[in-house]
Amino acid sequence: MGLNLIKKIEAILFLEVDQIEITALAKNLDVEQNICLKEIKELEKYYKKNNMALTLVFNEDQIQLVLKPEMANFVEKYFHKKTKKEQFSPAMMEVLSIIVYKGPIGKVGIEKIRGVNSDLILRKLAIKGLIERAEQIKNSRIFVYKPSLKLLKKLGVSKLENLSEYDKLSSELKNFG
Amino acid sequence: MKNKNKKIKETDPLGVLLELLENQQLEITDFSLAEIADEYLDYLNKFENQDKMIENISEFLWVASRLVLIKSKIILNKFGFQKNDLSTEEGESELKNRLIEYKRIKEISLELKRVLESKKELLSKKKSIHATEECLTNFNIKDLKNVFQKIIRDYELERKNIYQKKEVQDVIKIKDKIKEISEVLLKIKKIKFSQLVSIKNNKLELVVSFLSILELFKKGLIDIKQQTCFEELEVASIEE
Repeated sequence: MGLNLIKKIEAILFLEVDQIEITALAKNLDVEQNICLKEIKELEKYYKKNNMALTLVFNEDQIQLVLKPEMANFVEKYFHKKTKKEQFSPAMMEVLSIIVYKGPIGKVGIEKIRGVNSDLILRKLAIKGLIERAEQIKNSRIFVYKPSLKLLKKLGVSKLENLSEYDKLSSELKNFG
Repeated sequence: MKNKNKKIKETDPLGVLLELLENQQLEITDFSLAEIADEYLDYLNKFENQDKMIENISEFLWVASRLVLIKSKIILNKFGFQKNDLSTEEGESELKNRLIEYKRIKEISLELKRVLESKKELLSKKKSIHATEECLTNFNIKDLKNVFQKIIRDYELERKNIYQKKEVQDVIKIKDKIKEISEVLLKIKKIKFSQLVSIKNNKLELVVSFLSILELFKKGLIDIKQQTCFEELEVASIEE
């Protein structure tokens, strides 16, 4: 068997430590983006169907090869690694929830909901790598915040929509304007 | 009213209001907001969490003013004023909506925190730091020795410098130098810049002298000439 596309993609995903952008991956492999995405989905399906330890996490254009959530405990035991328990203050969780269910959202929008300045908390979350700052599509001078791939990994979901009741909650919150 | 004197834990404007409502198990309605208005104002007056409140004081006042507005409308209603008589302000329902939304966010954030801390993470490969062979090419024990000796030398030099710097230097003031230069120029009309610096190789005096002639030039008291770049400056007094 030759080196088909799915194998190449799997190889790169296996070796890469960081998240990969699908656009960059497709360009590198010299294929159309949607073909690349199709193969990635195929790979994800394979892992699922054959009950493997691996799965993929998707965040917009970014993907990463990860272990399924049920592997976390076992792997930590094997490597005798105690992950430090991160502390999340109520204020941090509020901002995070707003970004997860209402994002991408600007600083002004977040502060309007909370009624307090949220600069410091946004900075803390950004340092932890849990949120990403991006330029607003319509107006590039305004920054919006959105969940990062790392946050999805921490939440144990392979895409945002897999959070329980995501659709319900996000449309509920978006109704508030 | 029960729990009236319960200490308020929240410190943000909307949070305080939500907690007050919660303490009395009230829903978020115009009526309950009117009922709670006095307590909210009480809280503001007590000013217990000063440092945390002060940064959000405008928001606190916004909330308080809306509460008073809602309450006064309800009272006016009792006296027979029809709702239509009173123009409805935007902020009225805005406060209610914001409260409901903020309450939901608080609830959702608790759930999200539970998910986040459930430790069902999706793990990925970790970066491992390893010295590659590349780092070690062109390297031998002699280099190590040389580098170490250089560090020791630099250290000694640095230490000497520190002691030298401690010697007290005479301070030369620009004011004094200007006076000195002016006096010199009264006697001689033209002088070379290097002649103005009395002690050779004294950087401080050189700098002060230069600043002095710049100042004098600015004031229009002297004229400075230089034939070509990097050549000696010629300082001349201007005839009045």
